Amino acid sequence: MNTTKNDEGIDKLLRSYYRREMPSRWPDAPRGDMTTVAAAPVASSATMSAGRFLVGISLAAILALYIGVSAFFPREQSTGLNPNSQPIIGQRPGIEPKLVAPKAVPAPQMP
Amino acid sequence: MKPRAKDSRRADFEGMYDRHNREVWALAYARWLNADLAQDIMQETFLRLWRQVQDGATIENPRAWLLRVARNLAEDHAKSSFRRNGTQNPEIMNAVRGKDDQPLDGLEREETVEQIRGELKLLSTPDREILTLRYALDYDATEIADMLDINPTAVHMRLSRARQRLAERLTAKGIKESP
Repeated sequence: MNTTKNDEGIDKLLRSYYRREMPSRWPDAPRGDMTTVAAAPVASSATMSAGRFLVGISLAAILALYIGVSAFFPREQSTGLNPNSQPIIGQRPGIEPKLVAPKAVPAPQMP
Repeated sequence: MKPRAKDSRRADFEGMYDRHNREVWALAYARWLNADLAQDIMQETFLRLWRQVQDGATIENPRAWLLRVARNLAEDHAKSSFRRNGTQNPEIMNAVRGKDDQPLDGLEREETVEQIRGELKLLSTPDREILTLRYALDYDATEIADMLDINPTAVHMRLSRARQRLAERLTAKGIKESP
């Protein structure tokens, strides 16, 4: 590598930096019985079963709560499926609706 | 497997480890600038090689195989291990020194080291690979070119450019050379 005097400073600095970063003692070659460093932690089957059990319990509790709460709020009778039912919008009990005849409107005359 | 054949394979493997472990470390270090993580990746890389050897697989070019696996492991680390294992990021890990801490060898303060690391992070990974091989392993341009499978002239150019850029930035921060 060709270096000028100007490069010597940065060379020295970088060499010091990298030497400091390198391991002072290199480990022995790994053996087959070592555990891998980067391997993902795998949950045990007992842990997974417990997790599934908790999810099941939670779902059952939510369903029971829903049924319990809905018992306090009874549903109104639905008429949605009866084709003979009349709409009740605008009607009051005991008051008969009056029919009002439309006023006669004079026919327009041609000029 | 016969014990003698097993011993032979182990000896071959340990020979490869001695020849290439520093190179593998250097590539992993160039990616993350984290010495401990680079050592973990190096160990994992050689563990995979050992399994291949045990399985009787034939690897034509062990050096190229090791460097490829090390690069892949270093990249995978970004995607998975930090989040999955809760590993601290390199900035935090590098602030923690091992018990076999070396003398600073001219780099008097941790702050200076962090400033150099910060500037190195701004370079591309290929440029950091060249710098690491040059200054950590004392490789010349031909050796670097051979290892990285690139042109020696390109190594010279990239090394010169990276060095100049680092010198300018570190000088601007008041770091001219190691005291």
